[in-house]
Amino acid sequence: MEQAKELLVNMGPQHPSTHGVLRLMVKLDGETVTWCEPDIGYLHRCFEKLSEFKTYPQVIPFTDRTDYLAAITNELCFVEGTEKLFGDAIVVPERAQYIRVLLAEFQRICSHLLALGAMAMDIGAITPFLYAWRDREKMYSLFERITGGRMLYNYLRIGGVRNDLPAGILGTPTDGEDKADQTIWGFINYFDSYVWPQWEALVTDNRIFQWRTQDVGKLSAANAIAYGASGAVLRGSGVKFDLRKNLPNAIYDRFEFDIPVGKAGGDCFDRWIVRAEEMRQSSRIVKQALAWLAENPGETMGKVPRILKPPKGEIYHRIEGARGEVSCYIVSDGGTNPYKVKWRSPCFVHLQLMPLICPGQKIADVIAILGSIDIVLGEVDR
Amino acid sequence: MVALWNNLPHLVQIWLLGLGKGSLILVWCLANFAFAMVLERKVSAWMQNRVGPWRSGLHGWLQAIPDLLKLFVKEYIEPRNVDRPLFILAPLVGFLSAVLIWLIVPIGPGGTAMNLDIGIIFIAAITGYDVIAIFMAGWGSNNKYSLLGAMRGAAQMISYEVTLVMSIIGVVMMVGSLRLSDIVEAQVNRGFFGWFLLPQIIGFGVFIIASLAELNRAPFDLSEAESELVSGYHTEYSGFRWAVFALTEYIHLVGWSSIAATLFLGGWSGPNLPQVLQGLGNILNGLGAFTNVAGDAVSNAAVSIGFMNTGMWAWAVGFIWFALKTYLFVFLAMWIRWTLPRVRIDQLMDLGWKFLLPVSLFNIFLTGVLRFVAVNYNGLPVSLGSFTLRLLGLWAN
Amino acid sequence: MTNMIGEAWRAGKSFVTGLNITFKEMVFRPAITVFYPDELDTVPAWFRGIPLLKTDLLTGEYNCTSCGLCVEACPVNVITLEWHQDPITKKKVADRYAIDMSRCMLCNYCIEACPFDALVMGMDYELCKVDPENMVYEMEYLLRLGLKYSSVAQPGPKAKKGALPPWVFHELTGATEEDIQDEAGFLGRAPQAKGYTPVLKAQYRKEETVVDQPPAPAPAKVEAKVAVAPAATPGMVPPDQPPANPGGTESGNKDGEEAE
Repeated sequence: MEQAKELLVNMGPQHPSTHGVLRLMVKLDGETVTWCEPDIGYLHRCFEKLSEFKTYPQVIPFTDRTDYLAAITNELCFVEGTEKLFGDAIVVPERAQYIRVLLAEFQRICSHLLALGAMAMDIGAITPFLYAWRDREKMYSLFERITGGRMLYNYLRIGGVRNDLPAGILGTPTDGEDKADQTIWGFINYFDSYVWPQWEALVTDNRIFQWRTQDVGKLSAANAIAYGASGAVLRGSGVKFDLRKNLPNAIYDRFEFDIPVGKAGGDCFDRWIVRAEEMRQSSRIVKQALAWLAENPGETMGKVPRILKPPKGEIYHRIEGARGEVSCYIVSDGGTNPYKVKWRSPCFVHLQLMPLICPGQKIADVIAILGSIDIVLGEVDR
Repeated sequence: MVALWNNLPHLVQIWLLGLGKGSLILVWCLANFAFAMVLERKVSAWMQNRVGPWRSGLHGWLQAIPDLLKLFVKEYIEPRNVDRPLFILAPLVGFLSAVLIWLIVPIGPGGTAMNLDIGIIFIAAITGYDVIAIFMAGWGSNNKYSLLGAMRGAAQMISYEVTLVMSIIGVVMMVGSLRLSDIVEAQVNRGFFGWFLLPQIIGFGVFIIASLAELNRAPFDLSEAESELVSGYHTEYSGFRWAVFALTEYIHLVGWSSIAATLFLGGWSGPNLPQVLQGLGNILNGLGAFTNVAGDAVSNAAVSIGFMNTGMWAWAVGFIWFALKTYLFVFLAMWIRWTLPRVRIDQLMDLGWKFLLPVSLFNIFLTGVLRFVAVNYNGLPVSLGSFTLRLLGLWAN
Repeated sequence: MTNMIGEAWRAGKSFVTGLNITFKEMVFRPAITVFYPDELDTVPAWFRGIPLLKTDLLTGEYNCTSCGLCVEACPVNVITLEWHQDPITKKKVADRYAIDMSRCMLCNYCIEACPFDALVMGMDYELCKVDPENMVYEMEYLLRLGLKYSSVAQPGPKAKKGALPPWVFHELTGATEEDIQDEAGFLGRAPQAKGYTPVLKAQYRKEETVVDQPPAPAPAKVEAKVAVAPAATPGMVPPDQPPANPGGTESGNKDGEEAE
């Protein structure tokens, strides 16, 4: 009698829910996954090698394109890293620091909205995804007014930000939903009063959603640390580690916020809850930054030499991006181009968790796990 | 004309009638498909702050026509090594099972194509064909996703068929007949509060859930779960073959909704205009002398259009009520689809076997007990409901 | 058993909550759809679209001096610049200035690098081409589209501290292609020698309201230039910021800074 074989299914590169161009090789025993292996590299764009042939400012637009859903945090990582290389030679004005934090946190809300929406769609609820899209468009309109681009901003500069905030973009704390796409205060108020409660009621509290995500794709804290997970995946496993608190870059130590952690042992629902809660914390930070920015006008660009030549040296800079720890390793040989740029992207690390947590789950869970670790293939392949 | 018809041999009469009814049913199904498909897209769009199809027809309500035309002229892509007979026949088998449901649905007073006395069993039998269609499509496509979808679909539909029939049995017990027109007549006699929606609320809930699963609609659209299995069993279909699957889906949806309306919402029964006016007049008269003039006028008006109680008028009113109730369920299905996430296959099986089946069995038991009480103690629940209606004048006797 | 009933109750409650939300969205929230070809979405003044070449509408010369800084600044090398030296004026004249928009990242570096305010990020966004090979935009096209963003006098690159940077256009002249009439063929001309005085012609169709307004005070030399315009084509004056500070690169343009 012939032995029953496992079924090898190639999910992707063309598949509705692999979040880009990812190929997941999955072996199935009936509906149960016995083996899973991600195959990446379809989006490789030689970012690291390319950076060696560009001047420091010219690298910034390329960092946008690694994680295109959270471009500001990538820029922030590279720009702050380069400023660190300069040491005391470049002083970033305080207002520019606040604008950076404001936009980074605003971007985090934006990115998490899409992450939650995509996860909800992976689980089968299409309407929340469209709601995420609707609200994200409002945020993008704001980003467009501030930076000029909707997704890829190229806004941060070594030594500051490209331009000051346009007049009237901050709004007032009383701005409501009607100004959600015109002022940041308007959006934040709309987010706190409408968007977040709606997500809570529509998806988080939904029992089918909870059945689909609770006890699915469990990642223990030890494994999360061993595999180098970061961001919501690490915190979902119960490890209270956030670079904004533990190793504050920029001026994060001036803001009040909490770090949410998962409580149920690192399943998909924990990661969801952590993301949802992080959006609220980000909105808190944005409010504090808005209050400061409204009162303190000033320079947004420090004094930088016309041709940027950092002194010889190397630097490793890590910040808390939207998806986890974004960090860069820059080696300077004293020239205008970086000698070497190494980019650490959280998604690349998180994708390696798939072979660990997928076996034993159902095939539908693979999609839920993929959604919960929230990968962006542009960042995985760089 | 009538003489000509009567002179025809019996066999020819049967064939001609069959052809006529069959064509009517097909046309009715296609019209329903065209409307339900656009309605689905519109409802989803409204729920997502969009406008949906907009260009063809007024606000896009004729979108089905260009869609079907486009699908008709598209290329039929056939993958290598398909099991050709199965691959080609599968959409047709599914279509057949969807259309056949309409044979027994009473769409108006006496408006049934075949007034089968085994109506409910016929439904259960017809549904079996759909499983075959899905499995033929999945097996014939030579695609792993299709196969997975087909396996899911088969498992799901077979297990939910049991629950579905069990949930209907409560209704059948209350009526004492499997014939759908009898079920409607029973509800007409019982009045609004005697519609099986309230007496059979448990059965109704189970029926709704089970029929969603039976229809492969969200949150139970596992056999075509697009985020996991691309499109499930019809991944490899294209052009009009795919369109037939879409036709099947929507005709099935409307068909099942019509059965739900028949079983639980009184089918074509509902007040017509004279009855409504009469009820209004009764209320006005009951309020006191001040409103008596208006009440009398309304009552007289009701009497003067009393011809609407009979004949073609009654049929038309019944049909309108039937369509309204049917599309209430269609809308409910769409509403649920665009709100809830999808369940997993093991949860679906758990829900079906471990929850819905026991609940529907309990419903049968409960119905039996209440029926016993009602028969032996002079119809207590029925009279409670009809009392209210007598007040409103909505109940004739 | 109780567990099951409780679960059913919780599930039912959450479903009803969800259904309630979608129903409310359906009934009470308007659609956010923009009917694209019928109505165009507006873009903010900072929008980064295709880089375009600006023209000094007063003299008809393009601002570009072929210095090549934008070419150097471009991270993806999409700008092609070919030039020769004019034997008379000893100035560089651009022969070819082309941008390969199929590879352009719209990063704004070329505009920031330009010391002569010759480039602007346009607001035009319907620039589709059937063939990607056609995405190379040549100088004529860039100049023609850029006319909309050109004004009679451009502020200098370091006009005013703290204001919007000059490479973000702060003054959309609002001229359509119809309005920009180039009867004498001035537009798109290379910069001329210093002593050269062009014969001027109005570039804009007159707006009715402008006629009654008293002419704003202006330096005598420049006013003489502008005064020619109504004579050449009667009833036509530049509507936008009449000769407030037309040629004045040295004094800067204060009006332009405030507008956002």
